[in-house]
Amino acid sequence: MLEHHPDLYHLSDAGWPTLHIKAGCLEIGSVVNAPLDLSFTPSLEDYPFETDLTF
Amino acid sequence: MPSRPLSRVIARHTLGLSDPIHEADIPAEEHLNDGLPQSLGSCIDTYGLKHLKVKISGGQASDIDCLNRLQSLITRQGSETIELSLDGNERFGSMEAFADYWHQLIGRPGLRSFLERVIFIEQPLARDVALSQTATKHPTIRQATPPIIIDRSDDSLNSASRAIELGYAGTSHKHCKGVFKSVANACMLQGRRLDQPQATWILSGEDLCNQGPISVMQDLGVAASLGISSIERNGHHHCRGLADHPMSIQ
Repeated sequence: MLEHHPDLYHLSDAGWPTLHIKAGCLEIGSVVNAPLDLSFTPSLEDYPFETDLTF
Repeated sequence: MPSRPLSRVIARHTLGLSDPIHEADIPAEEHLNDGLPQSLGSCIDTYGLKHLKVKISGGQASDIDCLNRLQSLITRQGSETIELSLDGNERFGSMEAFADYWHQLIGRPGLRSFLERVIFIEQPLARDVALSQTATKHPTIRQATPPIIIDRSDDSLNSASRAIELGYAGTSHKHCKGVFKSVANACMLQGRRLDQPQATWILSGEDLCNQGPISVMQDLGVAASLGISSIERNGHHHCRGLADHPMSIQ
């Protein structure tokens, strides 16, 4: 997301991506250029399977 | 509909009834220390906010106190261009009652000029009366207060049109209420702009705290296509961005 949407996201001080709000605004050119898509194919293999989740 | 989606939108930040305005309002044990701003003052500093959505309780004393504190903060931080929307939270039973409340507010010393920053008011009337001809009857409501829109009462395909006929100035887009319903509302409001360009017609928007990576993209894409230039956005404020997603997604 950081690579494909550098206008929308940036790294927070804590080190994870969060929305980049500057002068009260969100720049969403990359969003508009990838309508209703991510611009890349996410790797879902890194998400835990449901059986791996604990509550 | 706009010929092109917007490439920049204003992120409207919400101040809830119990949200801290100053850092000093946060008890020591409630400091989150999560790398994100917590008080409104910190959010204004961090994000350079232009638009705020302020929830009101309908209780004059508490609302006046909140608005006075907000005015003081904005003045002190030099954020003189900030504009406001107010969320009436369904606290009133009729437009007459709301108009009385509004006149009490703007009659307070120092608040009148501050409240000139209010660009619209959202859903002051309770849902069971908000679209009733009796409750909304007020001879000068369009002149007496800032523009008023529905939000929670927008629960069917024709509720926005019904609201316009009753004197409201618009409605709010929420993805969960249906994308094509909002397309229809946007077109209906654009028709009103063309017919009555002297009046104010508003299509607002709310993110309902949706999260990345996918929902944020879709929500913003639709809002940009609808031409909504100011969107209430709180998902980034209440959650840790993409922290809970795998590094490959981040």
